[in-house]
Amino acid sequence: MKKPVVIRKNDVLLLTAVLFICLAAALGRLIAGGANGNGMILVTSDGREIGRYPLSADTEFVVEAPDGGSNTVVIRDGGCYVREADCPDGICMRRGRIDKNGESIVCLPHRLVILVSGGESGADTIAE
Amino acid sequence: MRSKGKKVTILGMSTALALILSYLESLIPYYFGVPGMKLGLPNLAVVLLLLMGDPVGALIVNLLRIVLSGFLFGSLYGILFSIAGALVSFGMMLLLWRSRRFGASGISIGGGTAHNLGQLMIAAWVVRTPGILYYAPALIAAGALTGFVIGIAAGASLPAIRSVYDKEKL
Repeated sequence: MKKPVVIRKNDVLLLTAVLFICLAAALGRLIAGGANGNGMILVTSDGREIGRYPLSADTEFVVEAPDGGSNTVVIRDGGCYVREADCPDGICMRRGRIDKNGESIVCLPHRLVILVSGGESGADTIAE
Repeated sequence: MRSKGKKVTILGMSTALALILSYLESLIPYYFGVPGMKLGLPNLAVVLLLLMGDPVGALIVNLLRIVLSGFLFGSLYGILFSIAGALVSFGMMLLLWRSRRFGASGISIGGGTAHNLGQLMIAAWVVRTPGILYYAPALIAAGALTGFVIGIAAGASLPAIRSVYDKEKL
């Protein structure tokens, strides 16, 4: 019986290459765009922008989804989170607080995206 | 795969293994908050079948465990996403396996990264917001690391499974 090869040279090369590219992308983005900014919260539902809110002003609002569901979004102390949602998985609530440029909360069942966007230029190069 | 009995047995046991691992995984909460981030434990069964030279069986087990675990521990919505991620992942693993240039860990790395990236892209398409691709580097790196570990586990347990499999006459 042929012994199966668990780790080959190519495997290690592949792992190193993938990790290196990811690290470079993450670092490059960190250098290019300030991690923390005087950010805006950009809310889109089903691909349409429904509002922009400054992270500096505390507020709370409810976003209605096309399917009738809703998410309660809270902006407080320079961060944003989803306090309540009636989606089946609740991933948006478990996401917790976002406050850095490019970070987002996604509620797939409600097709809702809450994105931290830095000023007028948009979130980052990928987003454009 | 020599006899039908053996094939049915090995596919049944692989599906059971994948289901148990799906259950274990469902107990672990999401850390990245983006659909697509998973440990990929059930992929162990899929990698094992690929290494045993049964790509068709691997695909069947992959789809079966998603549908079964989706109904048992998840939602219909989750099933659709899982199937999309699993197909992208499976395609990548099939390519790496066919190339004969990679070992178990390399095949599994390909599966892990493709799964996470695939699901993220599908999520970006569903919400029509490419901005969530912000998480791509983190998800790909996580997929590569978990895939690496799962590949080692699959490669290491293969000889034991094979020796029993080759001995049994059905």
